[in-house]
Amino acid sequence: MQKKKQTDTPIALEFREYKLSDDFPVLVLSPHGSKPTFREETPKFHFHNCIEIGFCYEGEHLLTFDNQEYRLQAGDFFVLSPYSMHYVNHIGEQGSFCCEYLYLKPVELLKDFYPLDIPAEMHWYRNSDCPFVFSKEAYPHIYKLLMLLLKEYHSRMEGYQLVIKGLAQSLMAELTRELSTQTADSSDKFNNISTLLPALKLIHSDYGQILRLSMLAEKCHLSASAFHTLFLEQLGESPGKYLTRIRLEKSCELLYGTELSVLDIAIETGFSSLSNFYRCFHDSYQISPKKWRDTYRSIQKRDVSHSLFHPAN
Amino acid sequence: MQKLNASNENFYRHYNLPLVFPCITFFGEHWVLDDNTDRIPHFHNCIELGYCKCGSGNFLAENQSGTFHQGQYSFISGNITHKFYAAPGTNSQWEYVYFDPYLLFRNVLPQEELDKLLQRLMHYFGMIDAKELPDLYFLMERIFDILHQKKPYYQDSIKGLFLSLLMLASRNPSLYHFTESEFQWLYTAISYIHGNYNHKLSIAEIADCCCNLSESHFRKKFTQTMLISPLDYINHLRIRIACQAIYYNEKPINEIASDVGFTTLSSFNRNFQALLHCSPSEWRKQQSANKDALEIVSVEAHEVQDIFLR
Repeated sequence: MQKKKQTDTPIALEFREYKLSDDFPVLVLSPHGSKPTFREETPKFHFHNCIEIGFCYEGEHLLTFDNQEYRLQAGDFFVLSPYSMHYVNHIGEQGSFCCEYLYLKPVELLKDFYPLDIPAEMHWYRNSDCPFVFSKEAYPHIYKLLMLLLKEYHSRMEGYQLVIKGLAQSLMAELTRELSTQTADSSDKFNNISTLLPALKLIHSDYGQILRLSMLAEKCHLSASAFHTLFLEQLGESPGKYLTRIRLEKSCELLYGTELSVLDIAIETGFSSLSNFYRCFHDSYQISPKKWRDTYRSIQKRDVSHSLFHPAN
Repeated sequence: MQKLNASNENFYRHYNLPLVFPCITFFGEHWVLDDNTDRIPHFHNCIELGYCKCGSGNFLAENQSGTFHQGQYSFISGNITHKFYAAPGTNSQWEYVYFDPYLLFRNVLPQEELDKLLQRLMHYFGMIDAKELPDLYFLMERIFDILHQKKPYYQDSIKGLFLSLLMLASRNPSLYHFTESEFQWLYTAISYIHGNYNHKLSIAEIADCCCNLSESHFRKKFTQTMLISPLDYINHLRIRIACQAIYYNEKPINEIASDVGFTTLSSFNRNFQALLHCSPSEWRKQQSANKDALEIVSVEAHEVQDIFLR
């Protein structure tokens, strides 16, 4: 794997949006499958709305990501965040080459395991410090797990969706361990909040609605004041602050990944007014939503072509 | 093979799995199988996964017999009467993982889907070889490795692998699938109880419908083999299921009590107290304060007494 600066950046940029089903958001594009594969003469810079995991089976490939290049050998695989710009092309003289791509949306895929939203430690894929490149030799377990997952996907045997959900759950846990920088003791956090789970569940699903303290407390069968005290004690912030933080996080996702206007996003994420949204946003990030969008979005979405793809399943 | 005679022997082994993450492991050097063929076969309340570290020998599972050797994994559902013994004059070393699929996936899968899956796995038994069943073998290998290493997020990882394993195993025709057993009457009664614990259950009805026995005869036979009365068995099951709902604060305790089949709160409280020696809310406090509630414990030989219920 090598990294080097690239001098020229292709201009054409494409948003390849995969409309994955909510129940089973998994898609595999493979060279031998019947599914369409994108093989262009000159590879286009593009990005997706889901995680992409690419496998190089044969031949040498060059993964170009932002302005970095990664040389991939047969047996390498890489993990890319949603909305990160990239392209892959085959290098070297003639020779055979073969790649396969897996797309998935972890939050939706694993919602049976994590009804609250996946744990914060698993959010590594929302940061853009990708790609993560692995080799089959260094990570044989993850590679074998992925191969079994692909095999199930192609087999379409009875219950394959369940098998894949289980494997994806294990995969996310393994990747989180390999990729997380800090030592993880935060899973302890989840042990102590069992009493508060019903309220957290409601916050994570209904953050766009008006949520009152009394409603949240009632969900946990506690009085408002007892609920407030316990929440503060267990989570280190008040329910109101927590709710605002979740709303702001969701608004960032929308700013980053959609073309919605700032007003629409404010309404969508449960803020009562645009000025309220601006004030909360500024308090937390010391920057306006619009500026944040321009700064953090790696894609300058000028001249983006949008190609929608509805998988047949 | 000698005739099975289960009376007054420890025929049913009830593993008291942790309630929040119902899985335990038996690792280490202590789990040695000798060549004694006279041991009474037994069955469990949960799924047993085994790994043969060294040695070889024979097994008897219901009416099937076969051989095992080093490097194989075993998959044994609850309600499969089995015994293993090493080749004459030798020992065989094993490691085990036990888990309760119902409690583990109660909140993960929709009720009907889970019931359907577990129904199919009710009477499964298999020896898993790397060559013949590479996918199942890979999953088993990972499960044992992950539980040995216990790196961060291992519970999350293992839960996913258990689910994939159940589905792959239930689909695999090369595992034995038992429908005929000398203890069919007992399995039928147990699976009826597991499917209907949340309704009012009458022992007389279970005895009559499932086993074609009189109530008193059924009671006697059940207690003899299980070393627990049918009513206690039902109530223990209800309490164990209630515990998870209590831990995750799903509902007020009186609603949980009626959901699992108790008609009055006081009988729920009495049974809870008898089994866990504290009140439901005290229990939740204890568990919430316990950082290791989700930890999967490895059992060494000398601690094994605590794992058996009663």
